[in-house]
Amino acid sequence: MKKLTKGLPSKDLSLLMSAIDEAAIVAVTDKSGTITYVNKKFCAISKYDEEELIGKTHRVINSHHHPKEFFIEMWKTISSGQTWEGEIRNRAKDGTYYWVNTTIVPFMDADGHPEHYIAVRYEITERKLAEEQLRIYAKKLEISNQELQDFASVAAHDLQEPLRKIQSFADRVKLKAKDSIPEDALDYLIRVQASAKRMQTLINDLLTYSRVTTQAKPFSPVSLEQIAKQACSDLEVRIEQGNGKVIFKNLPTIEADSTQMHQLFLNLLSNGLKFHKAETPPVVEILAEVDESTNSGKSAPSCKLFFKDNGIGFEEKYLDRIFTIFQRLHGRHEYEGTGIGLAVCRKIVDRHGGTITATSQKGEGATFIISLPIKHHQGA
Amino acid sequence: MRCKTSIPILVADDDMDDCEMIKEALQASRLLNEVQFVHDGEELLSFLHRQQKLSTQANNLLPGLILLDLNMPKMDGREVLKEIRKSPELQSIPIIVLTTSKAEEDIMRSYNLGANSFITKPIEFETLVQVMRDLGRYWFEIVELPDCKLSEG
Repeated sequence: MKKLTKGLPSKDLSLLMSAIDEAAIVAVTDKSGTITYVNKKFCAISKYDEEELIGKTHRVINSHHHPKEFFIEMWKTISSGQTWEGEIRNRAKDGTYYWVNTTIVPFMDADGHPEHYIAVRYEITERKLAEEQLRIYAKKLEISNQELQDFASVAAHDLQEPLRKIQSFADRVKLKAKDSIPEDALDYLIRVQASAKRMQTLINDLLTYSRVTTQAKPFSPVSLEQIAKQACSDLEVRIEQGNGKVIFKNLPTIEADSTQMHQLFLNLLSNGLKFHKAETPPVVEILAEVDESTNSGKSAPSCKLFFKDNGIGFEEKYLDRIFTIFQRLHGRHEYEGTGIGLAVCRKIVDRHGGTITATSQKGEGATFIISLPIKHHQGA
Repeated sequence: MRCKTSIPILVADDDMDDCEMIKEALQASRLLNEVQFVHDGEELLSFLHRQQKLSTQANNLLPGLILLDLNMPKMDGREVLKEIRKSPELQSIPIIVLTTSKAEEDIMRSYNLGANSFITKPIEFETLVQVMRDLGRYWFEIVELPDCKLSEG
């Protein structure tokens, strides 16, 4: 900077100054920090008039946000002849705060002592507020994740224990007294046990649902072809028993949580197998469409998966309902289950930044359509 | 080597109903070993340390097997498992986690901390009796147990 100003004729120098004045908030102080010059932008942002600033130090706009050491460090740097850069929160005349990215350049005299300092600033209040907001959100998210974790542990232990005891003691009463209590009393006991068992299933399902968040693993390349094969082998018995069939080929590899992809496939396949028509063996077909195009520049490459079945289908007016936890479209005596499967699917897809929906007509089978990004940028 | 039936089993469980149930199941399984009970992690550790001090070359008073509940007051099963596996005098005692949970992370964590088995408490009493019978057969008939005191000299 020193060299640059030296090399410039004074006309160019004043042009340069006026250019900087237009672009940035500028202040000049003497070696003790007393303000000798401020530009319009400085006055505009600080809401002080020029006369109120000249002859004062920057303490006028001190927001008391930064510790003393912050400014000591700054003075140490610039008084030794080095440029200082940092982010400072200042207080305007009306009491409002603003953030500026600040560069202070010292200019030394012939003996190497600082003569004056030029401070060039850019306002970054918006960015700072956004960062602060982001920090608050992150903190909130951390708290709610912790709560979810606590809840999961409560569900896994504290809720299960009394429930297991209801079942255990009902079982022991049944064992001890089955010959001596009346038949209807025995029937009540069986109902107690069945309800407790159902409660246990609900708790376990709730736990599965919360695990999508609490047991989330980082994304890595996952072959959906492999995932589909695994899911089919897990469901082998059910497929064979129902004379069913699962068809798929050429499924892509995407960045995902493989455990969760496995669960997604398992849930969607078993759904397709479960809701089959009485006389027709279930056939579930998985199709994939890869969309590499990033033409809009915004949408990253994604893939669409179609899980198409020949089952009983559903009325599309219930579309929102089927992805909600514990929502069912059928009585428990018709089809077993608590209504957790698709809710878990949606939670998994959400976590992967994708979407899930379905098309169907009653009696005409259903197609579940999942759209997932192929790659994820850091984090996820 | 201790006589197999004289090797005590230690049950750590804060739930009195479960303790009672385990006791009855052990009786029903005709396992002759003495059964001792503690009700939280701290009590378990101080019990083990006391037994260890009282033991002699000839007379090992440490339990041959610990049935450990995971959720206990003061110090839970996971913490106590960690402590036992860190202690040179106690680390070789086989520990069977016997808990309500069947959560994957509990299973994983227990084995990582050095549990020898993980069993979810059965609901039916008959099943519990069967589990106790199998445990007894496995740990006192099939398996050779370390004689903690001797191995430590």
